[in-house]
Amino acid sequence: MATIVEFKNYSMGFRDDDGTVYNLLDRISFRVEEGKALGVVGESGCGKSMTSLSMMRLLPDGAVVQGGEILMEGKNILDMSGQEMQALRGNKLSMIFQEPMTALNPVLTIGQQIGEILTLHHPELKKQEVRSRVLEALEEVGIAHPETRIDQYPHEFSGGMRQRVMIAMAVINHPALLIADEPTTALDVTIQAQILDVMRRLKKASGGLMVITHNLGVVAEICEEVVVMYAGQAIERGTLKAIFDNPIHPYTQGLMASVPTIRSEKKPLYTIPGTVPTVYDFVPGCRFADRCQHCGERCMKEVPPMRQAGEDHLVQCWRSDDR
Amino acid sequence: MEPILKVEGLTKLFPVKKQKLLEERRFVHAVEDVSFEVYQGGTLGIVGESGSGKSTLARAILALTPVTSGSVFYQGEDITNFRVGAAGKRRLRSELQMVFQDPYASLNPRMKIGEAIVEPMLINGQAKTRAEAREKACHLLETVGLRPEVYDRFPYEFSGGQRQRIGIVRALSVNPKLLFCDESVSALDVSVQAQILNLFNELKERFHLTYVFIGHDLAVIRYISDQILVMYLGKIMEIAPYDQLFGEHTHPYTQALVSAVPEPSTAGRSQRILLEGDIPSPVNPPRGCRFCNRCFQAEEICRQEEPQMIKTGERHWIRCHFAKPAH
Repeated sequence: MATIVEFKNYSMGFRDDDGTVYNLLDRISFRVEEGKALGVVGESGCGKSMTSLSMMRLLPDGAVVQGGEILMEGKNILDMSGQEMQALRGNKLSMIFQEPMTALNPVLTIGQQIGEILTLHHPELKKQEVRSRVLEALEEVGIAHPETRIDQYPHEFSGGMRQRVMIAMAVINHPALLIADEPTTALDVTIQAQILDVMRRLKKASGGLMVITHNLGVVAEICEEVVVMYAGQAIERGTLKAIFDNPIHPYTQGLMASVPTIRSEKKPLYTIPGTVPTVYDFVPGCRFADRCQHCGERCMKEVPPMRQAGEDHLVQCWRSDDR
Repeated sequence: MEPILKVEGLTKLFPVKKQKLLEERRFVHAVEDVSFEVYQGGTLGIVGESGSGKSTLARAILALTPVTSGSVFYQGEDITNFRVGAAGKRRLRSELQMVFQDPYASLNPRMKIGEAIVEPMLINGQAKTRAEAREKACHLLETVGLRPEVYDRFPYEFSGGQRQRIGIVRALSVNPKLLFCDESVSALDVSVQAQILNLFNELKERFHLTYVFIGHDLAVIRYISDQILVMYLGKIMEIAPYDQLFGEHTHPYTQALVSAVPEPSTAGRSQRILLEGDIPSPVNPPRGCRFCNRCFQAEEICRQEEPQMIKTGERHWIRCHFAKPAH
């Protein structure tokens, strides 16, 4: 199976006003395979969004790449020129954002906005061709009456419909990698179910999909592979089955246990003590150490190596050593 | 036993601004004909999608927006629109409290945490002096797992979970009996959400509280509540005990909601019910059953006639033509 994207020991951080660089993402490695969906899970502040923005090379001011590679079909995107990147974005590499309300231009019709993405990368297309391709895309994402909808403005669309428009925009150039950053967080559950259905269908026909979310349910619905992030470290990764049925890292275990499910019993929920540390107070070792019930001396000082915990299952924890 | 809160036929309509002079007056049917009871020590969960009227319902009960018709009884006393005199109003404002969704927006950024907690205590006469209020506030801060030193700090110094704890302390500071929690854990990360949910359960025992818990996350609402009210387009579709939300003996909308919740497990799910379309506009709700144009079981009668609430079991009512009444 072809690898679409690979993060290889990628590190990045932030430079503050004094020029000190604080590391955020610490040697992240994972892969997105063709036709598969990778879920990047974690709580706020764990570096999920910085991972996707790194991929798009859209990092905010003050961000510093500290090492590693991000390979897109074998080429390191960190070495690409601005122009090369521009050709990639919206074409081979596209992204769906969380807020469909703010990501659309209110004064342009849906058809104009989706069409623009197409003509930008394919200036040779004729007007009629663009229109029919946009209609196809609208139909593909399940928008009823595309012939009328194409000439309407964003305010005439509901939240769920706008998210479908965003998806149509993202997939119109058949990207090799589609990044969805919290694609359903702003939506109601019944609408979320519709959007997940669309994404599941598109996944089969597209390159790779990377879903960034805090919702473990969403991951279980559409992903085959999972990376669990904590405070900028990718602490556990593997197949959905490996991670969900046999979580090994204490953080992953805690995260799974603390979510009430629709069938859970009425006993007190498991809680992880403390809160996610900020970039200024990361410890030199495992960043979860001070909240971990199994924390030993080594955990505070040394970052544990990524070790094989099973077939298609890797974990970054000293404890798996002792098992 | 008398219910602590009883709502009867509560309706709240918002007028829509006319576009033309001779146009007929139209209304947003935000909450319509809602009736339910909550007993001392219980937790009523209200679930629904955005636009279902769940927040408006809470605001109408608490007289934060005047009700159009219907009545609200608190401990047997009619408190509709809080028309109970100045002293009565003050008592109600302390006994019925609310914890809001966004702890960032509900704390004054320029007010010290302690001040924000002490102020309602002094206004409502829960403490005579500032020193007494401070002592009580510090005690409450410890109860919810914060150090008393935070009293002199400002909101920006706290994380989302800590701010929500502060919001809870502020609500508790005036000795409430009934606590309305409007999406109180929705903005929190899952691990923090678990901490706050456990805290709510502990406080309920400790302070003999009764909760009305509003949310859109069915799993969270089911976890915290013992009775669940499902709303759709301003109307109650179902009132059910928390353990009877599954199976075919529930409202089709409840079935759809339950099946739409993505479950964090690798076990294959049973057939998913995928609802088509969005919630219709509450200005022109469909005639007949509110849910008829998205319902997978709808028949002609559903489009013609509005179903009544049918009692289908112990503490279980369903608004559907096809519900089976209890014998």
